[in-house]
Amino acid sequence: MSIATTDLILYGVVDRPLDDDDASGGAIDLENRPVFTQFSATAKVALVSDGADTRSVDITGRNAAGELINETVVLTGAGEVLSTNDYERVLIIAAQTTSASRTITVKQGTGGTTRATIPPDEKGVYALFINSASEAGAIERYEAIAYYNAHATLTLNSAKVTLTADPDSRIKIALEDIKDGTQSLASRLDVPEDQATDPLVFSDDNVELSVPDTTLEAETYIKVWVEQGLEAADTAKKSTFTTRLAGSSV
Amino acid sequence: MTKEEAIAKVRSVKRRCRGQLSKEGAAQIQALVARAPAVPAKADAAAVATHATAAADLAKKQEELVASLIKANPKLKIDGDARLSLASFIDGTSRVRCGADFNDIVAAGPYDGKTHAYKCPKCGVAGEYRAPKFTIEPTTKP
Repeated sequence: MSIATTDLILYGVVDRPLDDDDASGGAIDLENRPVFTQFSATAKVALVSDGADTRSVDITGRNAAGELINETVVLTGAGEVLSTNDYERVLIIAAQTTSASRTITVKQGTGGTTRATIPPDEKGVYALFINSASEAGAIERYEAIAYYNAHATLTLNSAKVTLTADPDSRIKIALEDIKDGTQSLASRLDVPEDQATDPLVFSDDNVELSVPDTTLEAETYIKVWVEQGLEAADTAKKSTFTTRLAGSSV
Repeated sequence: MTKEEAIAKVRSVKRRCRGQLSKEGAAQIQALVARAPAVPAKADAAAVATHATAAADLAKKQEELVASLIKANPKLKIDGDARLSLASFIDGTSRVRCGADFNDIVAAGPYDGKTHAYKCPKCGVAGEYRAPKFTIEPTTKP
């Protein structure tokens, strides 16, 4: 059976910085995805599982005053449970453990719009570039995400990665020059490098990037480095971007 | 590193220009990703009210646009934020394919690791890229 879109999954990486002092990058993390829809208004986080489930879920976000807040909520199975805090934006939602069978749905307020789902064997979703402030001069930060070909046997051919939406024009991307890469930066202020330790070339949404050898083999990933470039004394951003992995298979 | 080695290194990664967005596509994307202006200070009641009206109008227009685009593309799989998913979809479908080798721009230099503006010589699409940082050995004559 051909590779389906559901076989090509965007995951996070193990080193997810919360500030400029944390490491950034590393290997793929198959338990966390950098994929969710941000809240459109301040609300409580509503969590509901699809069956018996008493896992603890850690929530991190910002309140209406912009303060970083967090709490732990204990799931009550298929019954909805609400956060205590109100969140202007959500930054991380992560179950403390995985479940082999349960899916968690994250909603904006009680009975509200679904903003994320956490499937079985995964822990959560998160935002990139948390606590990224602009400075007196322009500043660039680098964090990684990883596209995984989850098909058991088939190779994705003519594999290309593209930045497809960048509403604030603050994002550029580059691919590592090897698959299953594990490069980690001591700080997200460092520039990621290729195998010869030369800095990667970053391009915007007008450029299509070929995966090394133009293939993404079964159960292999390609790491995408994301550059966030903030202008000097930039305005506050609550933005997002999208990328796409495309290719062909038999 | 010689200049030839630098160029070979740049070209070891294939990069292609995706081409210009159609005017209609660009307008749709702009409408989808538009955001209401920042919320004014609460002390100014009139400004707050004006902002609320503008934000509601924008949200309504975007809802209508999302609905019409989904209706026009019934097989489209919306993954996550509908506005962003649609913007991404339009970005992928409304470009006039160019295919020019973007490495021609990168390989031409400079190799200073800095951000540079570019304009595709084939289709004219403009943007920015971060150049590689190489130290090029000076050419010596025998």
